[in-house]
Amino acid sequence: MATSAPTAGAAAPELSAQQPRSLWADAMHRLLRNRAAVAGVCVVLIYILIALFAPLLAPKNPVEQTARNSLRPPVWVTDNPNRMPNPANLLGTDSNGRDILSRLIFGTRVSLIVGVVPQLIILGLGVTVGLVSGFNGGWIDNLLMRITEIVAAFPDLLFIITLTVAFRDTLFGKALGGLLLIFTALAAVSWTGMARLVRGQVLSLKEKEFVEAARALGIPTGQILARHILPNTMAPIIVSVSFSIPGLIISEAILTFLGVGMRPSVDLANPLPTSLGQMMQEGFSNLSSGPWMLLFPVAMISSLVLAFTFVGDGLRDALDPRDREG
Amino acid sequence: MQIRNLRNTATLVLMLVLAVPILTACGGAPAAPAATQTAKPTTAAAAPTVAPKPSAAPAATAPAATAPVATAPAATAPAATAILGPAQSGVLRIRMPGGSGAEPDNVDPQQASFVSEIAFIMMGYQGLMTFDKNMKPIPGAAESVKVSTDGLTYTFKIRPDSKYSDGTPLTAKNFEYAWHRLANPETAGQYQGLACGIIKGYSEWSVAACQGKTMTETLALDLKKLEADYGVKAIDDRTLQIELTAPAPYFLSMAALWIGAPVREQDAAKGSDWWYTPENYIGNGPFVLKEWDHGSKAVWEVNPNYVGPLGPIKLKRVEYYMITESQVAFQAYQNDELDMLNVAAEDLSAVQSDPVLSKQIVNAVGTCTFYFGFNNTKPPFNDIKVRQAFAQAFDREAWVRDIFNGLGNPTQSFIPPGFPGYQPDLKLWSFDPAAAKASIAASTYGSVDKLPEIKLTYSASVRNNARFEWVANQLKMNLGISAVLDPIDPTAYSALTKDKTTSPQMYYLGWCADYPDPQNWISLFQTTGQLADRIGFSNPALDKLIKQADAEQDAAKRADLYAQAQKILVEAAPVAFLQNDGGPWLIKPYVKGVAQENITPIDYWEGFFNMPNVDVQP
Amino acid sequence: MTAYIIRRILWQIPVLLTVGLMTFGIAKITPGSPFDTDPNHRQLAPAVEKIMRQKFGMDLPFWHQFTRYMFFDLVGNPKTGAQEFQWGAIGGNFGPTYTSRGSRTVQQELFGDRSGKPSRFYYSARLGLQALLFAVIFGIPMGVLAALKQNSWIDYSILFVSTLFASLSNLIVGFLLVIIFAVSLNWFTVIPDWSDAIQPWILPTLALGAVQLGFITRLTRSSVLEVKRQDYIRTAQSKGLATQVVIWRHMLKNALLPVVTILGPAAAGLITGTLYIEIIFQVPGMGSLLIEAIGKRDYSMITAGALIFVFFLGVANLIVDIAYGVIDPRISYK
Repeated sequence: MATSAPTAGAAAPELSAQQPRSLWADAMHRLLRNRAAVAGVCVVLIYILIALFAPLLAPKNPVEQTARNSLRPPVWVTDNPNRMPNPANLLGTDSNGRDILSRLIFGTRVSLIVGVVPQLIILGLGVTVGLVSGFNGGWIDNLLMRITEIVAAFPDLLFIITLTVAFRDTLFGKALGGLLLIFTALAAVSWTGMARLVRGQVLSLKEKEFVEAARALGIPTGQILARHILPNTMAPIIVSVSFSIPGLIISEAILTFLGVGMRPSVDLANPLPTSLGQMMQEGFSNLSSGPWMLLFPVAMISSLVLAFTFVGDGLRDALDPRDREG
Repeated sequence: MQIRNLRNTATLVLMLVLAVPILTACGGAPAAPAATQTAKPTTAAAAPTVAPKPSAAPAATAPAATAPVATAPAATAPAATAILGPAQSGVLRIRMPGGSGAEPDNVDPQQASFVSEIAFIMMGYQGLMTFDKNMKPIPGAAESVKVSTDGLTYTFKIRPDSKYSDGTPLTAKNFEYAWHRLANPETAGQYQGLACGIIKGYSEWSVAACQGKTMTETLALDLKKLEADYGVKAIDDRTLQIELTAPAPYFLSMAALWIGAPVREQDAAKGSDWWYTPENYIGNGPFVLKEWDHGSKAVWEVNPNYVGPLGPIKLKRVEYYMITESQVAFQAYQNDELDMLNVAAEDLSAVQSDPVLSKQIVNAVGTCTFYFGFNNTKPPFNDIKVRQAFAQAFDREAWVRDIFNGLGNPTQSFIPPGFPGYQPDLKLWSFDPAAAKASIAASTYGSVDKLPEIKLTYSASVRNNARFEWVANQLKMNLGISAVLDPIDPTAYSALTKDKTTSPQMYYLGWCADYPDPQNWISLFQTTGQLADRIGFSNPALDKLIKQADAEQDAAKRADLYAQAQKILVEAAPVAFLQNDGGPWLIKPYVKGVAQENITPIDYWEGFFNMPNVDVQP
Repeated sequence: MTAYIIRRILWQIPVLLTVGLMTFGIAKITPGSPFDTDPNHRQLAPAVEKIMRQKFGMDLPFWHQFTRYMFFDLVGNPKTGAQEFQWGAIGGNFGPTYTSRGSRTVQQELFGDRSGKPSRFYYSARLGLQALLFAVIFGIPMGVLAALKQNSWIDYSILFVSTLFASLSNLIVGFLLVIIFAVSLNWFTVIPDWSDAIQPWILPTLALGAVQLGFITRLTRSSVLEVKRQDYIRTAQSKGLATQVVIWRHMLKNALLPVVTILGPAAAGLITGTLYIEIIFQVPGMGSLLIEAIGKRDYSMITAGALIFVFFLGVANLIVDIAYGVIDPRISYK
């Protein structure tokens, strides 16, 4: 143990002896002691607040275009006499003369939805299939895993194109600027990695002594899965989830790049006018003329993703049943 | 546990899988930058080729082992900044022409149809005619051309001692073969329909493309006889005669197109993808294809056997680089790896505010006109007053200024500036919101709020999103209309726009010239024309004028007829013309002969038709 | 075990057929066809489009088109009109590419040599494997280190770096590398020179590997943490084995399981190419071709892409499943 870090569990005592707090209170306690995780939680909370109170925070309407005000730099960039900032636009304007700060604030909404909501489907399907497949083995495992291969090869992009064209005039196609449809489709094909990850863990876990013991004691399969196996697969699940958040935020931007992304809107009252991913994509095509159009959304996405990562790792550490001390 | 016995085998397999890339390359990935860095001064100085030959490779790796730290000399020596080498005299490096920078998909002259494909073909081949700097058709591979007084028979004399790039003779027979190949139903090229009804016997032979017959029906015909009746014949080795069904003064322009490029029978016989291998791509054009690294670059060297108006050629080599991302191409230009580059609208303000780049701008005129097509069969645009109102409600100046950063120019008519038939004074629908509102009041709808929902359907992309957000904003401000944005996948969008029953209510379209003649523009708006058909537009007076003009042999009279036709077209406002493309290219100061006064809109790359004067002298 | 492998390979047959049918079917119902090109240019004359459709058999009923694509068919020769036998995908013929107007076949485009130069598949596979190798070689040690120094500044900085790249899209990471190493430092050129065996590969490998690197690092870290406190590690330690031996023998072996799992699909995905990296670094690989095929509705290329991907996925998953047994001998397949 000499190599492990001094801050956490340097001298973990006999572990199974004590059980002073409930599992959750204990986990919360340890999560709060992890400084990186606390910082992450704060950042995520700030983002959520920004998303919730966007209309109050945004200095301008994010959709409103101002004539002769396009591609203005942020207020502190004054080195180009041909292109002076407009004091009204703190972080500058985009190619249509819209206020970048306000768009960033509103864009947080979609990116949060997009990064988090599909996870529920991915988790639900992926974990279930992984557990069933790994625990049963045999032909069930084989069948389920072949199905994941088929789903992984599913032509999702084509399918999304077909759906968006077919449903473009219906409520389903229009909901959340078309995102509801896209993300139902995306989540429906993104769970396969999770399923294989969980299955791999279960394959190994089910041969372990404590599972054998539980079986010998006649504990029902469902309980073994829920009580003994699932908690031990948490680590890779959490990492995978916190990792697929940027994946989803970015794939929304990629879809825009490929021409099937979120629908733009000129409705001044639109609650979801843009997303960070979309702003990143717009920024990339205006990179030479307006680098700030890329810089700010990228910074927002990165900090959001970093925050989720630290929260995820903190959670993992906190929930680790063998990692309890004090 | 049988699996345990396999453990060693499996480990071995895994090791092998991992070892392959190590052996081939990866070895010391992180160390490699230093290695290549040290090699640069030597390779650049000794063999400053833009496309290093394999001989450069050993040199690149040799000094690496002995001198791992040598960043300082490279940083100070300006010549060593690029591994590909800086510009060198006589070598022009450009991004693959044709907009997207992507590799052409098929460069068989009788099958090709896209801009990039044509820009590729015309490097290697030369048609009977070519164009001069003023876009007039002039003899190319032909030395002279005689047109009979009835305008029906064209007699081309091939230049004496014409040769292909490999030295074999080029005769009228080769052109006969190529023009026959164009019409042959077996070829089934995408532009096969272009010459229907123009050359004698073409429609009869090419029954599939011209008359919509199936392949089985075609095979049932006496194809030998149809070929014999076809109006393209080599009289002797130097004389080619082409007979037309009706006078077509634009035929000389057509004879300058890629469709009549003299592909050799022995090359085309090498299979359907004969053009894929440079050894088979033997032509009579100004350049010879030396190397084609598909998906990466194409290297052209000057054709020593070239005869024609594009010679004598000063350039030694032209290199096409397939760079699909324009931001990357822009960086390559700034890094001195490209010598010319068309500027994307998004990069324009960066270029204009840069002290160095702003001095390298050369303004070019485009070949395209963009417009809003109204579906003339769907409400509210079946009402001419509404169409006219929309044509007036659009601030073209602001559109070009805000969205294209001043790239291109606003227009209210169809034929773009520089092209024969351009009418600079044809301005009927200048921006006037008050008049537009009045026009709507005068329509059957009576007022703006009684109009049905306006849906802006467009081909979805990041760029188009920004454009149509702008358009919707304009409609709101100028007319008080709340339009709905409706982006669709680009290919699905193309499919929708083909037919007036499915084509959107109002959508953005463009047309780019095939050849410089008003016929190539105005005729598309006759009832059966490609552009009129997709928006359901029909105007009998216009049809009559076009029919007259297309066959008129007197040049001045013909021009006048087209001018009248264009006026009717603009008045009826089946579409609202918006702007022409064009705008700046970045051209390094050491590239000679490519300037505003000697480029033409139909250049395959800027300066192409000024070839004798183009040179690179760094 | 041999029986298991054979059974797995046999299972692959229905998977391939299903994927083929599914992809071909969805591609066909997607609006738009290969002949719907940029509407700003001259469109294919309807009569010409009709011959094209006949030439490619697009006028046949769906089941006929599919069996022709997947299995075999008698195809009329356009020159003679005679019926000739022709294999489909099972015979290695993935059909003509529509973008080349039928002059070239999918297998020529993907696996054939490019007039004397290595195939597109070579570029994609080599780049993918290099990127994966880079990610594994750096990711696993970084993950172990982060876990051993849990909650120290080393841990945080490793997490920070590995997450940073993963939070950006390939497009941005790739472009960033171009700006830094090619434009600013001039160590590389923006336009690659593929005649060089090493130099043009470095940046795309780094860019492509960066995202996988982040995932592998974090997965390794969490698994090592998980295993670190397991009883048998404690037992081994209490028996007095040297710490290093304990780590490498027991810990890493068990921690590798999730990493190996994600390597399977990752390898299949990376080998079959990647759009952005190929665009930024102008790699003549398969990825851009396969993605563009979707936009161009190049049915044969789209379906071939799915079939090739699922083939490699099957192979990679089989290797992974065998590797499970190697890593953890208790896992067995009956």
